Amino acid sequence: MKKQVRKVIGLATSVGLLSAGVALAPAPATAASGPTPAQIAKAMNTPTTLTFWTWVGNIQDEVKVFEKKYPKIHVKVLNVGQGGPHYQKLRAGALSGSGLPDVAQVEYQYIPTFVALKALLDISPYVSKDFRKKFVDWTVSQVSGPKGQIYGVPQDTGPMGLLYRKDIFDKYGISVPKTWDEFAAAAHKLHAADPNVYLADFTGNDGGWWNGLLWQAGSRPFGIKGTSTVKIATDDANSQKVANYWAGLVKDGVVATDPAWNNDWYAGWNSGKYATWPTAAWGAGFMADNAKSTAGNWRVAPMPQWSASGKQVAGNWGGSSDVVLRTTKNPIAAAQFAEFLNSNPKTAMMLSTEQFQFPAAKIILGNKAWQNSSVAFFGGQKVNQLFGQISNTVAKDYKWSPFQDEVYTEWQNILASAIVNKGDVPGAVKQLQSSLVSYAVDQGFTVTH
Amino acid sequence: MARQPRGGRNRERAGLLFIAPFLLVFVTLFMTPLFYAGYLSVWKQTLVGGNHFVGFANYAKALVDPAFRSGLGHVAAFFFLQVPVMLILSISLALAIDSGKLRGAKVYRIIAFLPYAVPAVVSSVIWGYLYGPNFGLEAQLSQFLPIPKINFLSSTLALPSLANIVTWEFAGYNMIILYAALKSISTDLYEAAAVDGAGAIRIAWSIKLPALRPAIFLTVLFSVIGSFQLFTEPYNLANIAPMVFNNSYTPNIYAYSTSFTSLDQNYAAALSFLLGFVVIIMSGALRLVARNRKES
Repeated sequence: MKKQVRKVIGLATSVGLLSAGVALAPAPATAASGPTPAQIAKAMNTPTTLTFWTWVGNIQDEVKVFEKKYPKIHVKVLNVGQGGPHYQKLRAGALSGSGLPDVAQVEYQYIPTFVALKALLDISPYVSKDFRKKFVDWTVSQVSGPKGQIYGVPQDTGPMGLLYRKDIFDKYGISVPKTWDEFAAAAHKLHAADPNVYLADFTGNDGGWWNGLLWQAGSRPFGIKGTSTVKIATDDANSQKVANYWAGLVKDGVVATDPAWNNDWYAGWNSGKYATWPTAAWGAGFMADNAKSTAGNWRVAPMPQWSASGKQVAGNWGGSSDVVLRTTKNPIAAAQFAEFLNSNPKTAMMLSTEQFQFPAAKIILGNKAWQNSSVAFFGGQKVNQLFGQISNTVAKDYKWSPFQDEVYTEWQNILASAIVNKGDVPGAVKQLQSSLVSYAVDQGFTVTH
Repeated sequence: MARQPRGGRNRERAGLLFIAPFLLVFVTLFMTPLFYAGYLSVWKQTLVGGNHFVGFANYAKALVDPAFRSGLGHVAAFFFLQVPVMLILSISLALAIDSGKLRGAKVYRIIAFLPYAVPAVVSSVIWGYLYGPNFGLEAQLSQFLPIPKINFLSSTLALPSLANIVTWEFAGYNMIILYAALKSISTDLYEAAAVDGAGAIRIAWSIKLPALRPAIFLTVLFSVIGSFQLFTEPYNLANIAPMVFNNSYTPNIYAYSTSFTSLDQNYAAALSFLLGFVVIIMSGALRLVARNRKES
């Protein structure tokens, strides 16, 4: 902390350009007293170079729109690697307190991890007053801290729906399942009709997908209180419910258990081995790219529900935000850039139409032309509109652990062997619980259930 | 008399100057990280609570850690399975190419060596595709030919499948080492043997193989080190067979995961040091065996 202040003051005196608001920037989160509009205007008119780490391809196009509006500010876009390598570099920087960019792409699920590493800046003093109204509610809570801190600007989301093969459903007389019970019945019916086809693939190697299922089912496996207390309940009643459900399908052999994200799996989608994919909105674009031979045969439906009451509840899988790192020397410009990129009508629309991200910005979700665009891969269905409606049904209160990578790795290890052992998924969630508790205790956390 | 020591000092200085570039790289890139890792291994930094000196607690934990032990078990099994197969293959290839009875020996030499030029990541991807349980080469062939569908990445076959990749990668490399050793044998010996009436096989058995001993020792030593530090191939295969290649499948993968996923760099450093000790012990044991053989 002290070191940062000294660095900033040193810079301010040597360059003599930075405003008082910038020099005070790394002060702890007392959200109320932000810079004045004049200070913001001055910062945005001061020659500045921002570094932005992101894996989003061609985002330079959106950055150019920002640079055109604020010609004094130059944004250097760097792709330091997708997934693992990206976070490893951020983590290494967070541990050493140097070498971090000003702005970085971080998925919602990893925000608490980086908050725990004290790597993120609370940008609530630097963003616009109506920031919270610009994005879908649940994404705002994903980037918010308990005391009104804002740790990131929502960019894309992954509200979950059910992609299904209409041709296969029609061939075997299967109607779109509205509840998970109907889904299970359909799984049996389909596999009995054609033993080479499975209604779904229960993948053992994607913890994010599993969390999306838990999110919908009402399980709340994690929570953080203060800086040293963590709630771990990966075996709560709703998690057990989901585990028992899939374990039953695995045991009956009516769903596949192939690992995801490899050539064999992609080939499976192309050949029609799996008839549905309960997946995120971005899964629609993924499918269109990776299963070209099935174009026109797919449709999207809302996720099957746990209750037959008709009330729609959805989970979310993936999605990311742009965070500002604590070590930045330009908090105003960095925060303003992150907000602009994701809420400006032009750039936010480009993120959807060029990067095929599913937006968090209400201005896009409410855009009629965007809603009405039909997708040929899905037989001309208005996929955006449907996922937009689903996004509104995503529960707001899902929380993550401060060590989500550990959670996923453990889950993959444990679930993988559970699948080999005839699908003992309920045993796996219990084992995950005890393994995570001992990790958290070892890391100095106080653990609650 | 007076000039000699000065000349010696000059020589000393010149010598130092000559090794300076190496020494600099050796100290900064090899010794420093080593000492730093050693330093890290006696501390414990947690996400909550900061950094504490813990002495050898990390080592004590590793010695009874089932994940570390099972990893060591995997690489040991891998070593005893893969290395004999690979070396027999390498020796046979080297002898065949050296026999002078093979037409186009140079072409064979290059073909056998070629896989070594393929990066390990790429090899894993290629073989991973071939092994694919649903749409891999064998799986697809089994649809047309009367052969059973084999799951090369099942828990029983995964280790042999892994050994196959590494054999493919390194058999040619070891062959080159052995072939070079064969080339250094004096042709007088062959002539003398021919005069004595020895055929090609007799020459291979009684002259070439004994002469290859030091080179074979070298390749086994490399294989010990390579096997115990196995990382790239199983790490990349984890993508298609996560049920087998988990995050502690080999000690190196476990150390990597401990450091970068569990964020426990202290424990990872201790694991790495212990693995280093295991490799040193194995290499030492190998030397003892080799020396005893020579004496007997």
